[in-house]
Amino acid sequence: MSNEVNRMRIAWFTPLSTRSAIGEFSVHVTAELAKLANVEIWTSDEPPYHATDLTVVGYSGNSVDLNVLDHREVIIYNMGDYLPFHGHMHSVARRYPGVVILHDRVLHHLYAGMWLTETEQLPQAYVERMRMYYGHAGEKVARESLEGKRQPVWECDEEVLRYPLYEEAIVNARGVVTHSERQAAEIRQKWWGPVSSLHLPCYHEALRRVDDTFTKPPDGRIHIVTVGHVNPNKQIHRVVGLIAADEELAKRVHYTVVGPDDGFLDYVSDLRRLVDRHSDRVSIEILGWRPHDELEELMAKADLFVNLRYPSMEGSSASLMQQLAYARPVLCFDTGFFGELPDDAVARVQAGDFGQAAVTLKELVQDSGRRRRIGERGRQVAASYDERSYAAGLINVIQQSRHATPALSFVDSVAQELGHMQVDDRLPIFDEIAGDFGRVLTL
Amino acid sequence: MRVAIVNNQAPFVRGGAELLAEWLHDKLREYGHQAEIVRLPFQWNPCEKVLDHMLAARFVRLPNVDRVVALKFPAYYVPHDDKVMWLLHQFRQVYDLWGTPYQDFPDTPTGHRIRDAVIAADQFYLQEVRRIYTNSKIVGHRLNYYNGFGSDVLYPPLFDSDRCYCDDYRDYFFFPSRITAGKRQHVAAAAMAHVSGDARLVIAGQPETAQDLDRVMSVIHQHGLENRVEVIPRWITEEEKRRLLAGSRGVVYLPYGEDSYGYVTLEAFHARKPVITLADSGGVMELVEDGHNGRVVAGERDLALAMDELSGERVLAESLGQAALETIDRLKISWDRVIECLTK
Repeated sequence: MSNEVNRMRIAWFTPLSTRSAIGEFSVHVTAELAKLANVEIWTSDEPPYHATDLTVVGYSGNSVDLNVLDHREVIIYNMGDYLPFHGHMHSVARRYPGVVILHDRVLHHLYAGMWLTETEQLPQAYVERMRMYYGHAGEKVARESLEGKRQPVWECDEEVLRYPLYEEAIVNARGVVTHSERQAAEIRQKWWGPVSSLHLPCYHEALRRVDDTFTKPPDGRIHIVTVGHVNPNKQIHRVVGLIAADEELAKRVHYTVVGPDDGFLDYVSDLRRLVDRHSDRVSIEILGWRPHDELEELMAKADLFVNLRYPSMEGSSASLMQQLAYARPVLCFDTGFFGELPDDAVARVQAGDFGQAAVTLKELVQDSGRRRRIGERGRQVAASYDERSYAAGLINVIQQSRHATPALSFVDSVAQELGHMQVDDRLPIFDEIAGDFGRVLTL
Repeated sequence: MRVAIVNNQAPFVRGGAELLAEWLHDKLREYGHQAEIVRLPFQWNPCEKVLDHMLAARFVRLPNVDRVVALKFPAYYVPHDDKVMWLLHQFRQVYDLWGTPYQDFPDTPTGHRIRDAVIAADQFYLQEVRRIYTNSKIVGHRLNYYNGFGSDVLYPPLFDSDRCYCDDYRDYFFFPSRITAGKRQHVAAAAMAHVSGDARLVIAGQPETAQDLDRVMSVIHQHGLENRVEVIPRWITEEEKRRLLAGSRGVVYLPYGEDSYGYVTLEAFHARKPVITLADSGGVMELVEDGHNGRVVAGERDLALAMDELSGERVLAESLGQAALETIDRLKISWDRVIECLTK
């Protein structure tokens, strides 16, 4: 009884739609976390949801009294770069600060969408935040984007990486979790609160299912698979190009692209035309979205995965963890979380070096022993990143967060008052206060 | 009611606002309330320090207080659920004094941004105030003009007005005030050079600086007015002041752009003396009506004519003085009204 009373109450904000990978992550992690604390899941999504045994609170309408959050010891926000899943969440996070799990390195599309949509035209908010976080350069590109004087920032991967806007999600946070140490280090440079990097887990359930489906009917060709939303960032057109350009690869591999194409219809059309042009020489299929069972079957048939995100805009990759579970090598760039895995757990080449990617791909196709060694090591690494260790890491973050909350609350109060006075970093007081806080909070 | 009077204080500097806070404190207690004065240190030089004090005011908490009465910038930023303001001063350097010789605030990018910050803060935080009173119409007009807030005038009374009296209308005019350029004693002295009758002028007050006194004395020496203008260059006691007031023909008071009518005016009216002032003296005109309870004139020569007129017609001085006393009742300048407004 007393244990029950003393257990921490956690409100876990997340997308829960079956279309959301973050939703899937949430049900796995909260199931472990619920062994250590009282957890309820808050979502603004409409059903169908990922299945969970925990209480689910829908908060998109006015039916829920958000004041109950005052009685939760910890609030955790799972932030990603997708407005329909994370827009409401951001509004709540502003009122009820909590620990923010950053699932993406870039949240520019979320916030640009929030401030620039037809229903909520706040272009000045967009310009102001770009100035606040990135100075004059940020303000300039924001203005020019809005005035049509340049390609909008939000349409260019390199630009959104330069102006990721994740700062907006953490500005009043009580703790931050990333899935990449590089990202955590970057955030520590500009934010005082506790920042931790936790490995995105490879779900037990996924490992077990892989064991059950781990068969590969031989059909003569090496099966290469790319999984996930089909968009230019995954560089699928480059992979098609390098297969088509190499006679041996063209003859020996079958390349499957599986995943939804929402939002990038032009790209997918171009991709299909590209494949058609080479259809007499290559074996490539673009399948679009597939049900979970079918997806798993496709992945089980793979000999290797290609996951060449460039530039990398995610904190980590749930699909990468899933691919590692299949004990198949993953060809990836040395960027983001991909660059932080042990050297022998993936087949990694320098970010953006497609020539080297082609060489490595060919070597993997030719060398089954190398494929097996990398694949087995990858699975071993993935198995060590499980939900239990993630939940334990989170508890540690929560403890740090609770320790830091009084100081962070005070910083927020000062920031709020300075905001009312419209004082910003153009006045000396800003740096003086920042310096004072820096000294006090690091004592 | 437990009332906290919130005011600024520059240590070891006292002026009208500090005096008013103390009077209000004593009167609140006299009327049966509990009262405390909360004084916040304020320094505005260098200009960057203004922001420190604004921010500090926002982090003051006043528990166990039913009502806050805030008097000045930036003390009026102190948060409280039940706050009324009896506004004596905004930060005039960034409002009406900006762009004038009295700006006394750097015209630099930093100065401009601090000015913007003060205006933004006034704009935002004054919304928290339940009701705004001003000590004069001019302060109220300024608040409305620059910030768009409405207010009611609540004139500050004297603490002990019943101690002012009139015992005669002799041949001298009295100018009691701190001697400084802004009060323009040198203008009054210069006017005496144009006075044709027997009128004399008595100037009494602590010089703010040696230069301020020199300015007045050099005018006197320049025009050979040593026998007609007497300067008492020190603080005079309340008793001395009341005695000099009581025997005077009238009072000369010429501040430049004064926010309020000034205690000098009110003391003169309580002593049934007409007040001669200049048309650009600001809040003084809220009490002084030309030809009714005093004279409002345009410059040195008109000032001299007015002194000559009152000096030559004692009955006129007496009649304007009687009207001056009645003005106080007409404008309801009383502690009854102040306490009622600030505690209702």
